[in-house]
Amino acid sequence: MNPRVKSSSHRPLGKMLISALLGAIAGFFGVTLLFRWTAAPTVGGSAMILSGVGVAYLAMALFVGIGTLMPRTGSKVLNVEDSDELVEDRQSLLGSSLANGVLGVMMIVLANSGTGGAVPASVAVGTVIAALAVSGFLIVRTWKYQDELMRQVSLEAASIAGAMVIAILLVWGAFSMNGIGPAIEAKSMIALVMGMTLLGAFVATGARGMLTPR
Amino acid sequence: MQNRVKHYREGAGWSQGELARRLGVSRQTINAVETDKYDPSLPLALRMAKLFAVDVPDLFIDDWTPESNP
Repeated sequence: MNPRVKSSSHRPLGKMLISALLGAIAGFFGVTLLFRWTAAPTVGGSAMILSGVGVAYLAMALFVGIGTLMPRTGSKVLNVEDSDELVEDRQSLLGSSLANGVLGVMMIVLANSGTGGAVPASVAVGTVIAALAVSGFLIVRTWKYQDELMRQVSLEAASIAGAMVIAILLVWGAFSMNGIGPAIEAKSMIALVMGMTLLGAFVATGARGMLTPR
Repeated sequence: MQNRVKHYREGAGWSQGELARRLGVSRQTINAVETDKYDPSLPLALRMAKLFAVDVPDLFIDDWTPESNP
């Protein structure tokens, strides 16, 4: 073997287990604290689901963001070859983690607004407009730091998410308008679109074998 | 599509990171190409071939053969 070619010596399975454990702990405490500190559970089931999706976005943003800012620690939990990879992709990773964090906060604020919610309507609408502006700016700015693989995966993720949203909405809508299922609420709708967007990203990366621990 | 990118990269003595830097892509892209998880765009395939001083068919192996004329 050529000595200039680095060989990998880390244990991907151990890293995967640490990541899964940290994700489970963060998710559990995130949802528990959120339901204790906010009015989401009293607002209704759709508010709880929207909060949960918001926590998932926030947790992902925190993991990727902190991992990118602290590459040596981040390389132990994130699916990268080594800490240098986090440094190389810093701009792209920080931009997308910030955008996800902003969207996560937006969903939690929205979940706590509306009838019975603690957040006033003006604050909720203002948060959505601000979150769209900030995340839109970050996504456009991040796009130029992404190479062809990440752009391709992003397009595939959006396509998969769109297909899943269409399928679920068609079935849900048909059930709802015929009195068989629950009515489509705005909060459920937002949770569905944002949740499927996240799921679409995992499906697209997983289908390419890019979730395999490295 | 199978390829010989890893073979040529290691022959040149480059890490995945070094090849990624020379091509202006991420290391993840090089890893995905080498492990057959991603077929690169035509411009990237041409740049790879140019970098290794080989032809594209030497780098990327396609089993397809055209039908013979009747």
